[in-house]
Amino acid sequence: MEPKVNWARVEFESVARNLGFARVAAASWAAGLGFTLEELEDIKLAVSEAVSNCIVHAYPERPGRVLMMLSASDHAFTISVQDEGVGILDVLAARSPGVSSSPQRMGMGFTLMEALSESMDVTSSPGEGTKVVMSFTPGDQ
Amino acid sequence: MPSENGPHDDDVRRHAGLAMSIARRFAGRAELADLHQAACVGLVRAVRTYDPARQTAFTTYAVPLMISEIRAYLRGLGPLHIPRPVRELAQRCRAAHSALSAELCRDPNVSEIAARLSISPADVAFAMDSDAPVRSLDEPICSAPDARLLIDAIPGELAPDESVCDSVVLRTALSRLPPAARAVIVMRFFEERTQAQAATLLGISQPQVHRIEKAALAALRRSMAGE
Repeated sequence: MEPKVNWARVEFESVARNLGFARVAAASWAAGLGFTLEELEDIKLAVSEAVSNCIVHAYPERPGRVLMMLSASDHAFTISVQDEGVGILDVLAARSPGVSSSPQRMGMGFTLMEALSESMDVTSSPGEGTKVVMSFTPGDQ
Repeated sequence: MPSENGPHDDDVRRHAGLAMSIARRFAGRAELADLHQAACVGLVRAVRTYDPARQTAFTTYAVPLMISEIRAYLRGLGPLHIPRPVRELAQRCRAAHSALSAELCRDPNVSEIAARLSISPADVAFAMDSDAPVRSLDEPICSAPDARLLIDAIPGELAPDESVCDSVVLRTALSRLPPAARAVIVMRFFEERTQAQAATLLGISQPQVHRIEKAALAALRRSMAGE
C-alpha cells in the first residue's frame, strides 16, 4: 500500500550553484504527483525565487544553510524553504512587488511565488531567518 | 475609461521594462518575445483597470496581472507541450556532446557540455530528460511482425530462476567462477540473503563473504565484458 504521506528534506549551502540543484530536485520529487510539465515548470520557478531570496538576501555576508522540505499527502504538494539568515523586518511590505533591498531584482520574488503557487505563507524574524511555505495542487489551473 | 490612444500609453511604455523583467523569469518555457507580449497584454489590462483610489501601488496591482497573462499563454500551449526552447536545448546538448566527444576523444561530462552551451549542468540534465521519446505500452518490442507488445514484456515479480539467471552471458560467466564464489553470488544476489546469512550457510566469516563477493563481482564484470 502506498504511504499516504511522503516527504523529503534537502539541506544545502546558499550559493548560486545549488540553485539549479534545488530547482531540479524539487521538480523531480514532485514529478510523480500528477503535475503537468507546465505546472512542474511553475514549481521550478517558484523554488528558484525562494532559493534566490536565501542566496541574495538572507545571507548577504557569507553563505549559510538553506533547508528545503518537500511533502506530499494525497494530492497536495508543499514546499518549504527556510534559512537562518538576516530575516525580514516588514514581511507585508516585502511581499509587495517593487520592494527589494537589491534594486536590479525589482522585488518580484514573493509576488511570483504567490502567483505560481496555490497558497504561500512567509514567516520571518529579523536575525533569526525566514521561512516560505508554498503549496501546489495538480490541475490547479 | 481611458481611450485607446490616451495618456495611458505612457504608463504602458514606462512599465515595459517591468513586463520584460517578468517575462525573463519564464525564459526557457517559450520564446521570450511571446512571453513579453503576454506580459504586455497584462500590463495594458492593468493600466486600463487600475484605480488609484484603491490605495495600492500600480506595480502591486499590475505584476500579478502580467504573471497570470503569461501563465494563461503557457497553459494555452497544450497539456503535453514540451517548451520548444527546452526541446531545442536537448538537441543542442546532443550536438555539444558529439562535438566535445570528437574534440576530447572521450565522453564529455555534463559540466563540460553545460560550459560549452553556457548553461547550468542541472539544466543539461533536465533538458536531456525532456527529450526522451514517449513510449506506448502498446508498441511492439521489436520490428518482427509477430512481436510481443511492450506491456507483455514488462516483468512482474521477478522469480530468480527465470529473470536474471536466464541471461546466457551471465550464466556462462557464473560457470567460470570458483565454486565458493559462485555460491556467494547466488546466495547474495539470486536468493537475496545478507552477507551474514551467507556466512552462516557456508561456515565462514562475514568479512570472508565480503571479500569473496567483491572478487567474484569483479571477475563477473571482466568475464561479461569479454576480457
